[in-house]
Amino acid sequence: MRVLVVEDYDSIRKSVVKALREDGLSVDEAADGATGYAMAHGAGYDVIVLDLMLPGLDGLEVLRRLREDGESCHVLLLTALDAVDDRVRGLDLGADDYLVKPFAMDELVARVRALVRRAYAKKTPAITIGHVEICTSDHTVTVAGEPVELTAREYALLEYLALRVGEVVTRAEIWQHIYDDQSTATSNVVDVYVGYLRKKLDAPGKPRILHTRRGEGYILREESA
Amino acid sequence: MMSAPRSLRARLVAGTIAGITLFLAADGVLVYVLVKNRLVAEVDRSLESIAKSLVATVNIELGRRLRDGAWRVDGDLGIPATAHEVDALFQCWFEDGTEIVRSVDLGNLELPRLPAGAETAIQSIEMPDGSPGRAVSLSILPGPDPARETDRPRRARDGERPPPRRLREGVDPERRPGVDRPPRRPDGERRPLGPRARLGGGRQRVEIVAARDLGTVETTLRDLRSVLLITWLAASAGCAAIVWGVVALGLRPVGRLRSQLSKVDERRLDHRFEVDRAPSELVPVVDQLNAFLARIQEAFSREQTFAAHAAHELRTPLAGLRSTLEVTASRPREAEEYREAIGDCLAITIQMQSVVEALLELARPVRTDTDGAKTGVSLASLVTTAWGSFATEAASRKMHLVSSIDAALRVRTDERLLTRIVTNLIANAISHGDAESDIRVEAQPGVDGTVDLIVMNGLANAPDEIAERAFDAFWRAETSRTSRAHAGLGLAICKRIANALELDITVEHEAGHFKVRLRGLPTL
Repeated sequence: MRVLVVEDYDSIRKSVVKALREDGLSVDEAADGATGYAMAHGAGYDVIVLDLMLPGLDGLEVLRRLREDGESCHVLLLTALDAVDDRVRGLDLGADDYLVKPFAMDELVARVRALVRRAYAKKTPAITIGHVEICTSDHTVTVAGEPVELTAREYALLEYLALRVGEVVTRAEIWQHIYDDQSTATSNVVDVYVGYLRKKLDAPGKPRILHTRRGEGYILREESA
Repeated sequence: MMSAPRSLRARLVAGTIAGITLFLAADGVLVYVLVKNRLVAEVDRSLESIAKSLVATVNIELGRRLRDGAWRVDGDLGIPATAHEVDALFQCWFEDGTEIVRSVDLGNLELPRLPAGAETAIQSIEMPDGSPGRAVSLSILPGPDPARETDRPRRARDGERPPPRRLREGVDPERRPGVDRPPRRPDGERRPLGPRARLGGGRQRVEIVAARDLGTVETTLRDLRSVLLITWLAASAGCAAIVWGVVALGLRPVGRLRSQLSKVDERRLDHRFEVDRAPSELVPVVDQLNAFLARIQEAFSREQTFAAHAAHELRTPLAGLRSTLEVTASRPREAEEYREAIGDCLAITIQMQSVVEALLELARPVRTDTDGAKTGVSLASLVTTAWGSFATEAASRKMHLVSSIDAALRVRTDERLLTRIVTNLIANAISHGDAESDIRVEAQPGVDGTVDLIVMNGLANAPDEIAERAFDAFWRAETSRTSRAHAGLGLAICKRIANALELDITVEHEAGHFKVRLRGLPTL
């Protein structure tokens, strides 16, 4: 799940990026409107957290241009303006949600998660695939009714695959959505983590749900016994 | 001590009713006095007429007897019947107190003997029965006047004795009042005076007192008093009711205005009172109220905008503070992360402090020194000093100061306030001007021996409204809050200080340059 944070105020941007990364999201950042627009254009972000008052190109202009370009990513506006008109303008230009500064970081993360789910047509935080249940709100996973401990990377990988259940997900996509620009990991890490995850999801007497499609990628799906 | 009623209606009603009541009372008293005087005058005229009639009779009768040498009174004095039939009491004495005659109705009572002369004297007396009355007294010397003896009628000298006309024309003497019994002696005994009434060797003056009871007049006056009192009370009550109603009607527009006023609060400051429906006396009040409301609305709007801007200005650093603290506290972290977060929070706090201080400066009135404290200020050195405060920031943006101000130029002004203006202008130019551009400061001749101070910086891109809004608090050409150094209050503060110094300050943006001109600095 890839998120772009466009915010000029250093401390806010740093905190938001940190909170989202710690929630398992792949986060990129930009400090002004022009850079944000350049990064967002064609990059396939699931969610963009966009400040309204940006130096150079302001947030509304970035949003307008993205929509004109046909970008359908979900946009969460951050604004210090609490006037209804400002919010209405933002929503009318194609924003999906907004948050007025100052905000609670938990709320921002929750709203971003909701937008991520919406991006994958999931309305509830609970995803069930065979004997595996994933709760995206508190990042808990149960296998055959038993809770399983996953690392942040493992969970992020599982959630991403679960959101795209039934679809073949390429290594490149996993790379983009799980690892952000800050990461120095290589693509082999994806295979390693898929291996770890498969071991934790397998349960005796239960069919395997994480499959490898050679030359294509991975698919998470429930197979009939 | 009673205080005057505070209600306008009560004042008008009380004042009007009091005035009308007093006027009616005075009117009633005047009417009463006039009627009373008129009635008493009628009585007096009547008495005077009676007295003169009596005098004439007594004079004739006694004169005739004197001429006859029979200075005596034998009980038939020949008082005409008309004198007895009038509504008056009378009594007649010689001056020694011997009673000659009295009216029948007087009975045994005595009329007071009043000082009398040849002319009638009328005065108020207490009647013998104790009731008030009016009396007239006359004193005569009966018989012919010695000085006019030669003028006596001839027939008198010839021994003819003409009968008194009135006696002859009168009623039967036996039935005449005053002659049905003998006159009373001074000791009160009733018997004819006869020869005893004669005065030894000469005539005596005769005193006559006629009196009339004022009972009828008093009754009439009492009735009049009652009528006047009832009329006064009724008229006063009627006037009070009418005045109350008229005043209430007249004050209705005031009540309407009060009702409209009571509905105006901070949410309805756009309300205006209708001048067309107001009476002419209230039109100036309504006009003033409308103007007052407009001023309040404008001030309220300015206050709201200012508060909203101030809140908005603090929102971004507050959001940064909260975000940093929340994320840092969300889980255990390395010491370096905590140090970094604390450093961020400290920087944000310092920024918020500068915003709050700028807000306080805007809120405080500008204190100007008195004229005596105004000193000669070297503009060139003031600019150089101000630039020195921002040299580091200017260097980081590769900006340079180009000052063309003559070192000898001195202006007479409040140095402290002018320093604040120049400092703010230079800080503004360094923060918002284009990087790697020059900041030019110069002095140009103004009007009436003044100079204009100009601070100019490069600014390639600026919104169209920059000249119009540059002095608005919190307005910035760049809407983002990226810069932590300024809150968009610098030029607003400059404007306030310039106004306090009675200077004019304007901005222009032309050909990629942003120019601030401070006009009217008096030179030395």
